[in-house]
Amino acid sequence: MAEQTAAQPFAPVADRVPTRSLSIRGQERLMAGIATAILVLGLTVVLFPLFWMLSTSLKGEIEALKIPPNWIPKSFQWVNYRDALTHNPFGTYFRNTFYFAGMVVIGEVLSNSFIAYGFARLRAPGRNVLFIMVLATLMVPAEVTIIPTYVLFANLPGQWLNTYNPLIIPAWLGSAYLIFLLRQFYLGIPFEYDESARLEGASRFGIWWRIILPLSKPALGAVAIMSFIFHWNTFQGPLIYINDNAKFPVSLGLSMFRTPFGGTPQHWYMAASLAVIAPCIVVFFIAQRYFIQGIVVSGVKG
Amino acid sequence: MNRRLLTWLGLLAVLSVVLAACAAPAGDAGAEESMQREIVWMARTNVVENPWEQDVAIPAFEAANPDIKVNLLIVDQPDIAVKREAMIAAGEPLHVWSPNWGGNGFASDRVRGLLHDLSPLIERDGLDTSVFIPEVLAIYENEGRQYGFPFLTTGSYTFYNMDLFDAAGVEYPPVSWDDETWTWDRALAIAQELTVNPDDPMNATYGWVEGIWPAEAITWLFDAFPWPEDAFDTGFAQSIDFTSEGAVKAFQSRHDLTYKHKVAPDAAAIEGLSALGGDFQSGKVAMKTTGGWGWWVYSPVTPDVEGGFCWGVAPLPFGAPGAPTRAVIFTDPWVITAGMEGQELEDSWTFIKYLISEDAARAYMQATNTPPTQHKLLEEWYQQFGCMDPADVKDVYQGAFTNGLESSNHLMVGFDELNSTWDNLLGVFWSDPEGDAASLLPDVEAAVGEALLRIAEEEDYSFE
Amino acid sequence: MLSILPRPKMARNEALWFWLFISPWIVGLILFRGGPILASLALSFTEYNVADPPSPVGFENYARLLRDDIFYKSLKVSGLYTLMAVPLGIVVSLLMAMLLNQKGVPFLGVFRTLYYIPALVAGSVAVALLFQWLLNPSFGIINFLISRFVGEEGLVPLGLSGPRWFFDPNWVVPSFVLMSLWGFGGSMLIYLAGLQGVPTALYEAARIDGAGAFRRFRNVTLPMISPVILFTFITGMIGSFQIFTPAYIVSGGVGGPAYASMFYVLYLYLNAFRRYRFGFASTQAWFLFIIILILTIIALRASRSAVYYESPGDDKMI
Repeated sequence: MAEQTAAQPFAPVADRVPTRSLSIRGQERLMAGIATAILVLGLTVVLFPLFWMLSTSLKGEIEALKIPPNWIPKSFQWVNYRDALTHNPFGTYFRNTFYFAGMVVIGEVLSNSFIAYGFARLRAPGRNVLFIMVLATLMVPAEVTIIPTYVLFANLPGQWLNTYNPLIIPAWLGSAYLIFLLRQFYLGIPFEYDESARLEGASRFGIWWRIILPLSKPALGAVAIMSFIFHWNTFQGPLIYINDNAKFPVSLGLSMFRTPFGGTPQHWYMAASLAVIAPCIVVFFIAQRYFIQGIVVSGVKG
Repeated sequence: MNRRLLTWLGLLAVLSVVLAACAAPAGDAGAEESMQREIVWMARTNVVENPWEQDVAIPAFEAANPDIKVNLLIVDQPDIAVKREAMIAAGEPLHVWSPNWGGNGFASDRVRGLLHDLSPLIERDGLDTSVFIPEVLAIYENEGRQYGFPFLTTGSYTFYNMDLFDAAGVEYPPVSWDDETWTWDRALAIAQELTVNPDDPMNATYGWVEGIWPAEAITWLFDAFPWPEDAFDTGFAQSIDFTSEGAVKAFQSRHDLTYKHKVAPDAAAIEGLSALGGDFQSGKVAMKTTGGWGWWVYSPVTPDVEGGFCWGVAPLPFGAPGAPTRAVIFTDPWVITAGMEGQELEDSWTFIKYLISEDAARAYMQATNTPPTQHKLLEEWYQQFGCMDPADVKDVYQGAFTNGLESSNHLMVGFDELNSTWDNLLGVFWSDPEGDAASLLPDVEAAVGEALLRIAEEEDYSFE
Repeated sequence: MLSILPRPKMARNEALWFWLFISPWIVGLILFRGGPILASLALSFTEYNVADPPSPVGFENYARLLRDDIFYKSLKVSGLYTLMAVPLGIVVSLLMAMLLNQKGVPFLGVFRTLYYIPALVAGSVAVALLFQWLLNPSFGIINFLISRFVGEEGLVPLGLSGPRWFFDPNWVVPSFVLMSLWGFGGSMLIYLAGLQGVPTALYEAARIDGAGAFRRFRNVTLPMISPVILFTFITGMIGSFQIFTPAYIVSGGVGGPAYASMFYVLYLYLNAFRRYRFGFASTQAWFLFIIILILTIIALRASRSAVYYESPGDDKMI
């Protein structure tokens, strides 16, 4: 992680500014101090909504509707969390979502890093046209392909509807967004690596597996995070394909609180929402450790 | 060629096979499936309705009909149309549902030919339909065909906060819809008396939140019903009348509540109040005129809970003396998808009959506090409002049906486009302190008129 | 350094490997994705209300689209939104990524996580509702702060000195842009990953040359992460033109006031799932497809000289 310097990060910046030219070390400390100050201040903006959710989640049902609102609940109703998560079987929803999002993440990291390698580092006639086609699949609004896609899965042999397969299996066969992202990362890795490996007799597959994958750890980390979080929250796909309440993911579970005419119990809704994003926070915290600078040692073409 | 390349191609093929195997059915309930026939029931997400469906209605039905299994699909209302249309397009089984949830409303589904005519089945089984409130049952009858059975109905009302009235020593509004003293001006006078700090929303108490929906229905109070006479029967109209004297007065009077008399929050403040939880429930609103969902949505608000209070219900006021139709009625029916026959139709019909049976309807009423559609149950429903006398509840509740009509969002074909048209054009007016109804309404009338003709043309409907 | 002069056989071999590597995508396209996309293209030439089978109408939907006033309004709303949200989004998220990549900041992992939290919920129903409240002219905290700290006379009555956000047609699009900026974490994450790929040696070399922080950013960081900037630009554009959920929630599916929140895909959705004009909605979709495709190709071409790729010089990479 970040190197700890002797300077206290919260000390007034002016104390640490030497009057004359700064040494490199001093410059770095100054920058870190400024960055820390901005980051601490910015937290209020970023976390205010979260604070609001937390506050509402701990209120009584009628207190949650009070105007002006209580910033701090009169008494903390921790029982809301239990009630919200048992009103519908959230334990089952969490299990379902872990299975679904987990399967998709594995598939997307593997397949997209594989496909992107082809687009980024191998030459073939028609490659650019094909790549535009990849992007083109992102450009048709999903709203008009929902019905044809549903009709397709309803007619494919085997049981697709009311399972996660229509969402998992295609994910193993590439996602245009992630192919594009990884391609851009791969294009930043010097080709000398490939060439020297080829001279040593490595196959293309070997290059991808032993050189490109390790070098693109930060990118793969980002892909894994994005893929997990996207599918953890994804709503439209499960909405269409999953019928049984017992198979719902957390996103559909949250929607179960939505009640017409303002009948949504806000305190439960917020409690459950917080519980649902908690695993994402943990996943992010773990995965962001892969963001370490200096994996690529040389970037100079020569 | 490269042997390694072939190896990897082979591996890929194996992977595909493995994936395909994963895709094969997990085989849940494979054996017992054949024994039971299944019907699919689509409902909306709702914290009080869903437990009733899952824990009360379905178990009771399956116990009485052991050879039929009910598969419940629960979808939140804003997204219900996406799932329903996909299922219909794919021909996936969908048997019993309600057409007013999501999409374009009952009339549009009727002209699309999506709804099964239940009349032959009613006749065959000699079903007694006199248990229903007749006006309410008639809503889902068209040209002699009964397309659905109502399970939930309510009018539009004035909900008022009794505690605020008491504190100011103001007399409650009447309960009779025929009481001609209950006029717009009297309501306004009360609102003026009860309004405090209207310019400081966070600390304001508003006399009157006007929330009649759809927007066109404000004209009804002023004896300026804007639709052609047969529009609610056919579902089509050539024009809408927003420029009559009464209509202009209606829109301007609503506007004046906010900007001239300062007794009502503006559109933004109403939204803010609702976003914080609920305008009326917050206790900061003395009167709210709106659709009758308050009967059940406000039911957790009682003097016994912290922050709660006593509330009552009154008719909508007369904007013009003797206005015959004031209340917008909202009724939801259960329907069966058209095109079914044989056993599948019988099973769906069996389930519908169960849903409208007295026991099932009572259980629904008790679980949700919603008003029932059957006479007998209504007498029980009137009893539950602690702050109001049951006889008064009956008067005010029932009066809406003799002084109202079903909402245009259920009865006009292509309602969504109509609603979007007038809401967009009125949206600026409601937020503009200088807004002038007389100069705006001709444009709204013209735009809605165009939409009406477009919709009729699309459905190949010809006016006489 | 080795010069690559591919001999024909080698080139053929490389092409074969290319097809092998992209084969999963080809399979996915053929099995799952291509069909529905082509089906929607076919539907754009039909009238289809789901209850009845589609009936061909030729180019009628396209002609109708060009006569539709609201179509033009919606195109303008989404275009304006894209024009504002994409560049602002890139600037904000790149800035945050730089801050969160600063050496010497304590608890960097914690900061990164906290700053990513908004992205966890961005684009969801809950956030749309939240911003509806935050930006409420009467009750929102934003206008409260504005009246406290900006408008002197704005202390009481509250809310009169700030814009009316979602209620003023001129402020509606900026309000949605603001909402989108709060979800900066997604692009920030990508930049954060991109910054890790910048070789530290390059910074050292620049320092020795006496380059200041800004020049290091301009001459080292920016070129090195230009491939990911291009990525966020293009996907941001594609995504912004297709924004739907926030508009659907905030406007209650109406698109008001005065069509100011009638985003292109909201109008498309209403035609499809509220008005059962699936043929017409498909036409809208394909019209948008063509616009986005043209803009994407222009962006890819124009970026050729600006984006730094490591690819061999003889490779015509787009």
